[in-house]
Amino acid sequence: MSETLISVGKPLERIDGIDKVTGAAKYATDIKIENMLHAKLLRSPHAHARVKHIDTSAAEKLPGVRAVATILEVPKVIEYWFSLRTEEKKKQMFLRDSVVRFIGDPVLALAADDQATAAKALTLIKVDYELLPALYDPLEAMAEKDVKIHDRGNVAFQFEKVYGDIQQGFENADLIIENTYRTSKQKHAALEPFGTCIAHYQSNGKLTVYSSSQLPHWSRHYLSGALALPLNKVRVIKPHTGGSFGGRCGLIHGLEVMCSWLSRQTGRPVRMSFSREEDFIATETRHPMTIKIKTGVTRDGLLTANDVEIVSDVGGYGTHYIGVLADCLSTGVGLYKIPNYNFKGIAVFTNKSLCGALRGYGNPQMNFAQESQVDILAHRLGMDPVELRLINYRELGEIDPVLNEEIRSNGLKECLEKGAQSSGWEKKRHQKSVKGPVQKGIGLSVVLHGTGAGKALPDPAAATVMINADGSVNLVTAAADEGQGNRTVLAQIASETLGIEFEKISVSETDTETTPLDCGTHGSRQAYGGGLAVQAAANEARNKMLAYATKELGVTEGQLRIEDGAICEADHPDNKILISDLMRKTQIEDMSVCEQVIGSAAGVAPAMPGYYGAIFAEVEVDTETGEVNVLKLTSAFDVGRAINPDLVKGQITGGGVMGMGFALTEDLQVEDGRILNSSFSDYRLLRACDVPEIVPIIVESHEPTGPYGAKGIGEGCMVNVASAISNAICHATGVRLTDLRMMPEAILQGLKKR
Amino acid sequence: MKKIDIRIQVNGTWHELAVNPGDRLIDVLRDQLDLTGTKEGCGEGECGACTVNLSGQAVLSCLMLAVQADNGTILTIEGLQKGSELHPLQKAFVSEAAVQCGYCTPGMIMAANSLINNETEIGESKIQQHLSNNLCRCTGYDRPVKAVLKAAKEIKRNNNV
Amino acid sequence: MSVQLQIEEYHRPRDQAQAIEILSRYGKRARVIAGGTDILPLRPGVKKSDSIRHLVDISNLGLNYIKKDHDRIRIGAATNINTIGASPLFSSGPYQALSEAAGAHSTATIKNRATVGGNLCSASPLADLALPLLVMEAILVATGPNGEREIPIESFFKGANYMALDSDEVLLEIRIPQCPPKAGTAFVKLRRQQTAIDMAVVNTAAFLTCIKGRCEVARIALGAVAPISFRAKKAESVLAGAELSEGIIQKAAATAAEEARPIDDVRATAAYRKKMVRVLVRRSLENSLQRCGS
Repeated sequence: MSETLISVGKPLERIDGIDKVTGAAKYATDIKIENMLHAKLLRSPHAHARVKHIDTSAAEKLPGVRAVATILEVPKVIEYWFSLRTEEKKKQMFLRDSVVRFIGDPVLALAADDQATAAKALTLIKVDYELLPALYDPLEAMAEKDVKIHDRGNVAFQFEKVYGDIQQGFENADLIIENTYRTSKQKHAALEPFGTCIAHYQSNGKLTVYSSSQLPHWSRHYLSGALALPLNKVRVIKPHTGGSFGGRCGLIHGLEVMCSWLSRQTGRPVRMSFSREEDFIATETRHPMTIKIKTGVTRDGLLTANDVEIVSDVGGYGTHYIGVLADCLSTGVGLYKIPNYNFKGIAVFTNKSLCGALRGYGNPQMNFAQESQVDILAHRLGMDPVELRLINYRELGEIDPVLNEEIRSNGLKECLEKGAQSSGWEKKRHQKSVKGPVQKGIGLSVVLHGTGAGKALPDPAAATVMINADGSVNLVTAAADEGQGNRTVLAQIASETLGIEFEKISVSETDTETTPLDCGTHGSRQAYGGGLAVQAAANEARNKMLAYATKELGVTEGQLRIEDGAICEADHPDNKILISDLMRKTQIEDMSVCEQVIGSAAGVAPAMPGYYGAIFAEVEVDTETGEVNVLKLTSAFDVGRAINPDLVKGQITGGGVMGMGFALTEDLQVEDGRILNSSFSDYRLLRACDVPEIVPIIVESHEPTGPYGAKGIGEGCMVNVASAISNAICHATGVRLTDLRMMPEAILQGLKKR
Repeated sequence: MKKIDIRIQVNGTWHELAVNPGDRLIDVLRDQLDLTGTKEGCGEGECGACTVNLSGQAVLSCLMLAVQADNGTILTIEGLQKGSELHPLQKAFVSEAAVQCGYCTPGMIMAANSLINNETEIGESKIQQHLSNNLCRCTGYDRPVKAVLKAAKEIKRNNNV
Repeated sequence: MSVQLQIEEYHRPRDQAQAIEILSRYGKRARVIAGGTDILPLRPGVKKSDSIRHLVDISNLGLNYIKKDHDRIRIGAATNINTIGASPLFSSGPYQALSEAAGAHSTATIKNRATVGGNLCSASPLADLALPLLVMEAILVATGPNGEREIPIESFFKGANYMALDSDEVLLEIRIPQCPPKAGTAFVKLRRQQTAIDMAVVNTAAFLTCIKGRCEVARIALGAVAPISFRAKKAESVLAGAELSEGIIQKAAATAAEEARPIDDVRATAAYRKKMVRVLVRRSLENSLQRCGS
């Protein structure tokens, strides 16, 4: 095949850009359907209570009120798609009871002719609650035997994993440090609030749901289970989405199921749209964690032992608590070849808002702890932090002990080298401190994140490629683009594989009715898993095209080449036929053939390749106020292959800013179960005037199992920003921070102690 | 509740509308005029997704009552292009890969439009200042700023021709 | 949960008299609106008067102006914050603190609509423009059924979100007495970290006149550390007549910190705020001193 690439590696313009800059792109919030009813949720004001009685009589008398559905009839989804694997487990996914478990937990949904009537009607509803003791602290909840947040108790999940001999490991160490790190309740805070849904249950028994899901096919499965409908009677359509970052992995708590239920009751389409405040208080957040970690190293810099204990706060419900904890294990163990590693993780329910998947999953928490430890050790050993990483990272060819897979690509060394050079690491690391209150520092951290979920979760990928009679292409995929541009990347892969220019590829809408089963967008896996399916489907289509061409040109397939929109004989390029001519001939002109070229593929990706990164953070700290100001991030990431470098850089920069938020400005503050900062005025996102220069550096290690060598980028780029910043703060001031988010007061206290 | 009659010019067309006193400008644009390009992200003026231009100035349509815009000239994202010819800002946002999820994009473009129309010297720092009411969770802001800079230069060039 | 404003009627009075008449008629059910950026946000948890049903729009009553008289500067209550921030009268010289406060108030987009009158009448102890106006000893002019009256700004703020105007009065104008040309003023605002535009964690303004390094007049205003914006009089008396050494400035700053009565809230703790008053007052005095006499 020709080495001149036509699409892969090129910063091509994203396929939905024009729709978005003209206002033509429709998001869930923009969709209007005739005859639509408007629904609102009545939410619990209590952190833990049993609903004894609901009196809707006054509300139902209000003109314009059409239906009410309560949690007594309507099931909640409480587990993720892992539980779809068996009928038995699938039943456990749905919970129907009278208990509310966090402030804001839905009690009922009401549909009315307009929003104002729905809001008014809610004020007329009387609910009798039996208050139950509320548990806010996971340690307290763990110990508590009489107050059960869920029937099976307050421990959602726990597991332990042992590698090697931890005792021996610490005995071999010359230096051992032990610390406890705490991380905060971060919110996705996508610009389009979670969630808006329009559900239409038609009289023919077909349910159509418009909702921005990252996993439309799994949403379809959940709705099928919740409403007892066969899959072919459930259609999920995902419009343009205003960002998700993991928070739309399936259904939104209280949204789609309730809407569908109300639609079935009324026979009319029902729309529900959460306010920003509802997004903040009642949709998934990151799992806050307390991480106790004890690390041992030899004086030569060899990490010998790591003992990790994590308590993960799940909130009132969770669907991802298993995966998140497992992620802490795999990313921690996978990164460094520490021979003796104990991991103990426990996920605990509390009466606070539910937790789920948020960019990075469990890695941002784990990485903060582990990379802080490694930085402390580097300092204590008098060793360059870059050097300490190079000595210990798990290299190409080694077997990842958690995944039991060979590491087939690893660009971490190159990330470190390029990042160090670009940032001026050496010079800045040894800079003398200046007089005055403002001190500068530079810090480093590295990251490993997994691409996809491997075979740990059902992760089907599928695609269909249809070549049209004029040589243009329709690519059919259920890939859910949340903004990162994965549909553009898939079109690039299709284009490259087919030898057909990118501009001729159209990508289908994300609609379960017409797209084959694909897991969707999560775990940084769409370009990789989805890309492999597209590549395979495109290859099948390409081969069919070439098979036709052999007849036309009188040669064998091995003698053919695709170039400039034509299929030609490699050795005699004048013997050629335009793809458009060939396709017209075989699809329409030759009436004995009349066969569109269609290629299809479905299956699971062969591996879960890790992708790597190194971030060099430069900060200044005002030692009078304790304020941290990030001056620059240099972020080098090994993505295997950048199918679209602009989109990759977009992730690195955007992830860098989100990581800064996690480190310095974002946390949901909870007091007695109530979220105190449920708006943008007090949950602070960084703005254009707040962000420093971020230098994204792409490293390509060519993952052999990936489409054109690609693996992931979407999450890893935000994971280790906090640890890099913390390490920089320590370099600047000598103060080691162990709690996120990092507070000026903590810096002042740390300075005082010194 | 007494409805109020107002006249507003939106994207070059005068509309006579009857609005409730409490109707926000964003409600009238999105619900009565079906101009859904302007987005609501928070309802409290913090995210800027609802930014439109009123008499050439960037304003937050969620923080204005429709009646406050009476007799006003409003430009929304849908009104920027001329026929199918995109505005330099729209072109630059696409060419500079400054669009990801796109939810902040209309508001950001309208904020930038106001800046370009009202100021002569436009540099990176001024752009960052003027885009500071526009939250973006995806891009990290560097490419949107570059896109505005590019568009400003092109407009200046076109004006000098 | 946040409450949506239930407005029954939106009034656009043709003159001040009509505005007063409407306000008198509806009493506590009516509120003045200019830009509206402070009234309209559907911010959860913030007390919004559930009883407001009538809005009285004063943005077209000719109250948008900045006028320099021979002995004072007059700013119309409905003057936009960005107009104040861009005015050459304030960008340098003795009124600089006002320009700094206007710059720090909020985003460019909000400032296109937000007004100085709105900032003051919110009577939020965080109000940025209140502080330079306090140290410049501005006089607020209001009108009501009993005619016009002058209110020294120090008497204007009565409590958190509660100021001196009656429900049937309208703020017309802010009068800033002429500052001595060699006066140095400064405004300093501390926000949450890595956040260039934000509500204040602590804000402060200072006013200094001096002769040969000795302080003549010192005024210090503090915000976000008490139910109202206020003058730190004890700190001021430390400076009055004193040699303006580093030591005396530190002492004044420490005194100001003692006068502060901050609370814990989502943005910062009381303890941190108290510490920061000391830092900020010192910095604003240093800045004022630098500008003094120039």
